[in-house]
Amino acid sequence: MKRQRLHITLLLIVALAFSATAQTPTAKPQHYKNLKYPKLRELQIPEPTRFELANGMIVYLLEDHTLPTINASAMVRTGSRYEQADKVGLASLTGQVMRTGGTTSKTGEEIDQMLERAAASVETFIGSTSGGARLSVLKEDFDMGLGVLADILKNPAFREDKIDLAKVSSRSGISRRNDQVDAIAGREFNRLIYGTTSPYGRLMEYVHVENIARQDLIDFHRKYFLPNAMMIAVWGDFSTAAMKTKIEGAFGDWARGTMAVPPAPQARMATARTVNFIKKTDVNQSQIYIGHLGGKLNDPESALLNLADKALGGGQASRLFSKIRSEQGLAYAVWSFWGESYDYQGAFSMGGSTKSGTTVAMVKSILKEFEGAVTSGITESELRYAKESFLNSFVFEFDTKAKVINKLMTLEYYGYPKDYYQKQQQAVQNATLKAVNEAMQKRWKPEVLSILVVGNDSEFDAPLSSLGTVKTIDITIPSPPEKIPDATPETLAKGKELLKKTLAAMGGPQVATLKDMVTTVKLMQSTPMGDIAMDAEMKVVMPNKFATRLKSPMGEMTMAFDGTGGWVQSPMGTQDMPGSLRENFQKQMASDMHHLLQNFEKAEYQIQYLKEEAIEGKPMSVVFIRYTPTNYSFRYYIDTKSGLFTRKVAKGTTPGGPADIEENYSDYRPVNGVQIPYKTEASTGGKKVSELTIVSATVNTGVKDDVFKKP
Amino acid sequence: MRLSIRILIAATLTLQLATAQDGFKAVQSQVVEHTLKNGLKFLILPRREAPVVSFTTYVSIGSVNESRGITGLAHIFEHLAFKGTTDIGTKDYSKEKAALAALDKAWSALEQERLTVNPDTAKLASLTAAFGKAQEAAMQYSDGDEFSRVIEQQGGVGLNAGTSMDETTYFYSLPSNKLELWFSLESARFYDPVIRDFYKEKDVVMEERRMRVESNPIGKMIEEVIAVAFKSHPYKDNTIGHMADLKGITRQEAYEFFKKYYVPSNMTIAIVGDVDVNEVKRLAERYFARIPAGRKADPVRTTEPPQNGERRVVLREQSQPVIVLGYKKGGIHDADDAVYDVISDLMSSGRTSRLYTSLVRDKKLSISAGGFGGFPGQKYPNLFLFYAFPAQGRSNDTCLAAIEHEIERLKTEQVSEEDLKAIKTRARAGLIRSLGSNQGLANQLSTYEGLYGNWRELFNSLDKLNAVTAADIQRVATSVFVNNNRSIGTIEPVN
Repeated sequence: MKRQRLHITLLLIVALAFSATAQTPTAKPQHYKNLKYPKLRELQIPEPTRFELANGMIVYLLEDHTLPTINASAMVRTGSRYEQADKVGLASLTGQVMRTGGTTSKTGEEIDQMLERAAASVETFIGSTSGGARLSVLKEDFDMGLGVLADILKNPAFREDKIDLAKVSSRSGISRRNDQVDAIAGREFNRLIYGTTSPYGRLMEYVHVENIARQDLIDFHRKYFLPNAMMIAVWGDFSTAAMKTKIEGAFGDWARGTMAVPPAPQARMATARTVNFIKKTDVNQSQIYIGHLGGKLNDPESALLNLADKALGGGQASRLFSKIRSEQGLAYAVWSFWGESYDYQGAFSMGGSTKSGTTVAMVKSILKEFEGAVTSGITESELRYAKESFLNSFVFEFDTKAKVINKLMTLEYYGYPKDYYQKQQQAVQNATLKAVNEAMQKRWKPEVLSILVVGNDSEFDAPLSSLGTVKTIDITIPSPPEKIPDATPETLAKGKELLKKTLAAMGGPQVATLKDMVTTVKLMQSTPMGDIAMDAEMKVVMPNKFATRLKSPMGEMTMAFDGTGGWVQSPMGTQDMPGSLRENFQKQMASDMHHLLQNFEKAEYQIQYLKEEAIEGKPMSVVFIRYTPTNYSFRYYIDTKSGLFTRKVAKGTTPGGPADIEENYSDYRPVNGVQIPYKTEASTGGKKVSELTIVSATVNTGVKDDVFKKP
Repeated sequence: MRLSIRILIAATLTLQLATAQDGFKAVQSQVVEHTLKNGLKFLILPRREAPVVSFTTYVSIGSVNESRGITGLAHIFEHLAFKGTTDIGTKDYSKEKAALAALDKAWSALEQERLTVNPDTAKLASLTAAFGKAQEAAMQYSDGDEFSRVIEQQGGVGLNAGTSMDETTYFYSLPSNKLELWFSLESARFYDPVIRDFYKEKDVVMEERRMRVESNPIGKMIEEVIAVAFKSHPYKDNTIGHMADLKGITRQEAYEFFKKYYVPSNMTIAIVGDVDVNEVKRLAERYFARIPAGRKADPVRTTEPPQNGERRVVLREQSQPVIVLGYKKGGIHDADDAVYDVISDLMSSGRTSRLYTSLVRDKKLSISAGGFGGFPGQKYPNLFLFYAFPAQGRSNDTCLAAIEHEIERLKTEQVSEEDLKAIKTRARAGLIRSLGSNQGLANQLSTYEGLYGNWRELFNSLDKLNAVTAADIQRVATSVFVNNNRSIGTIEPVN
């Protein structure tokens, strides 16, 4: 008995000791390196129901009973990349106004109210490579929400007032696009990679907003929004059978059409490294972007390059993050991003932001890490970090039903296999260090990088030119085209009156006696290489002949025009004036001030008073003049006090293409009773392009016609 | 057998409850509270849809808990909390420890000289060089990105943290089999953090300040607006801190801030996802019981005095115009808290809201406009802030007049029952939708627990909102939206 009790006691002690030893090691906090993880419960990726309506619309359905809501998203085969180059923004406006402009049976306001009273939302939009719609409703309001969605997609009314509203918003967006330095950098980098005229790089300008009319929106919608060009995914708290019927009911009556989606425009890789700069004087930190054209999601090297990118700058323990942020403290934001798109090349970028005083140091650091990675490859442990990060987080790709169904629909939209993600996972699993490093060497090109810095160069640590020849990018926003009001008898009469006053001020009857004019001038011309000073002699014979001899650092050049044609003589030889230049001269002659004063009473000239406007505090009357035979129009600013011409604005030819050229006239002096401006400054887009100063002038000396003859 | 059928029925019933009625009622019944002896509270919500789990550590310490000279420290510490511990992020801690001590000495010698009236240039240069050397010496033992690297490598996503006036939150998600990894790392970083890479990380934070404030017109304006709107409460100082303070803050100050404030009574943890509640409780005990209890932070002593006159600040910037106007109102414990939520929705939610229909749609004065409470923090009395971004060619003044007109309507006209009902419907739907994401829910539960002392307030707030009447809106608008009680900030363009 006693022994037994002892036994029991011993047993208890032993048991206690055991439980103590069994508990102590597990109860102690463990260093992460000692942890063993159970196998992850297998993720059951639900299979959505997919079917096609008779009219070709593709439908995906997936029940999700976690919340009493229903959501839908649609994709439509269209995109802003298909809009006309002179109507940039048309796709975006169409996408907005489809929703806001109401339908044939309801106004936009009625729809707003129906939806928002029910805490529901329907939105439509058109992006670069697809159009789309989203619906989100509490499940009891689904029928209403679906009705609105279908009505908007099928029968948008594009009411004019909402087009106006969208245009106000577009113009405001243009006016605000240079307010934030990070937005400037991202946008302009994209334009460097794709080109400023590419469908992936062009910008909406004020003139495009004016070019877009309601009919354009109607046509854009009609062309692309077809049931056979659309897919819709619906997920939420419903039963699949009932939902099928509802979708058929909402979209079944929509007639199939002919799809006219052009192939996806492709992009080209740069051929040389460039250094680009945008000046922003109000910041103390530079934005840096470095990169080149990226790839497609189905490139054979896609998985390998994503691993390389994770190791280089994609992760919070990547090379760029460790070296530039953690070790050097140069930046808060620093990254690399191997950009990929589905059906055209994405943009590969690296970058970050750093104080002005370490700008060049940071660019050099990024280049060093990038070049080092390409030349020497990444390491085994970096690859392990990248691979495990990817594989272990793979479960998050499909952890909600919304992600599952939207991923499947998107893959089908771009013609990708439905097991794309699983194949990528496999490719990551199989990736070897050798393959990753070879892919980097094949696809990453240090020699064609576009480097962009936006910042305040007066505070830089070293001139940007230490990185290479610097190209400065001008981000001045082109002014909106001014709308000319319709002419009225009053404004036409006043226009003519004003010119009569000017005629009097410029010499009255003496102007009509002007037959020819010879001037020697000093000319200063701005060029990309800097300002060039030249001497010139100019001869003009009224009404439309002129000859100029120019002494420039490049040699002597003579140019003549006899009213119909002309020639150019230079050290390279003599050539006929190109047709385009000839046409321009023919047109522009109509706006010459003395020519105008001799001819403005003729019926060919329509002179319309526009407005009063001040230039440097001096009041001016502005007249808009159209020479009807060529429809060439221009405007003059007339000094209210003196009656003299102060400014002319007319379309002309600039290195950047046709643009408004502004000429400012000053220092008027009488020559034989006719006022001649001794100084003319020309500018375009707010930048001075030339300055002409008369040294001496004579009139009516009898210039011989042979100066216009081709030698 | 019978048992399992009963469980099945119960599960089906629960499911129906969650779907047929409000999703959040079911959610409420599934949240489990677990408080450790040291006072650390865990909120656990098991959700089995996918094998993933999200974590939020909410610390009810923000920039309001700083004092003169150390502005920005709450946020700096948030950065430092990613730098590891005595056995994470180091190559040899005993050597690193000595190097860090030497580094601190070099820093204080340099600072002392820098702050004298006439610093000796030669001395300054040699002290700077000595500091640089000491820094290199310490850095050679550091692997400061190890903490982040482990989380990413094990499949962590959304790894981040945020600091505001009122609080600091740390959050990320993991595949659910890595549950213990979070316990190991999260408890370690708040148990024995090592403040390493300190001076480099201050440089990083200074870059963050340049990015968010000094090179950003709106960031600049916000900093000026709070500086004029508050004259004594710490809401007057931007969370990012003043540049001079960022430069001057020492490692010692950062460590003291941690010791004083990172105690269980100031912390709440929420875990939402594919977890077993008992497992979470067991791991919570194992890993977090070691953190010593500490005194809960006192509320900020300084209260903002009543405002007796309109205040204005005008910034002239290379930017299009922007206008904000903020009216002083009560904090989260104000009896009218829900009334402000209703006013915010009425004025700025969606295309039927008053500021949208008036300023944007009909008058085309602005491209967006709205109003919301809780700026720049919400715990203490704060601002109800209206804003507008004028449309091209429109001015701040015309937008101000139009906003004032809408504010007047709040005082003189009764809001219709229909509008009120729509606002309440949207609040309920908004809450339901917010339950969809594990991380979102973890953030909300821990925030409500931390701010109100009770996570159920997340759901109770709906009842309070439902009780708001048209008369409440008129009463509050009339007493709060008055000119003497407001501060106006504008950006005016220069070229």
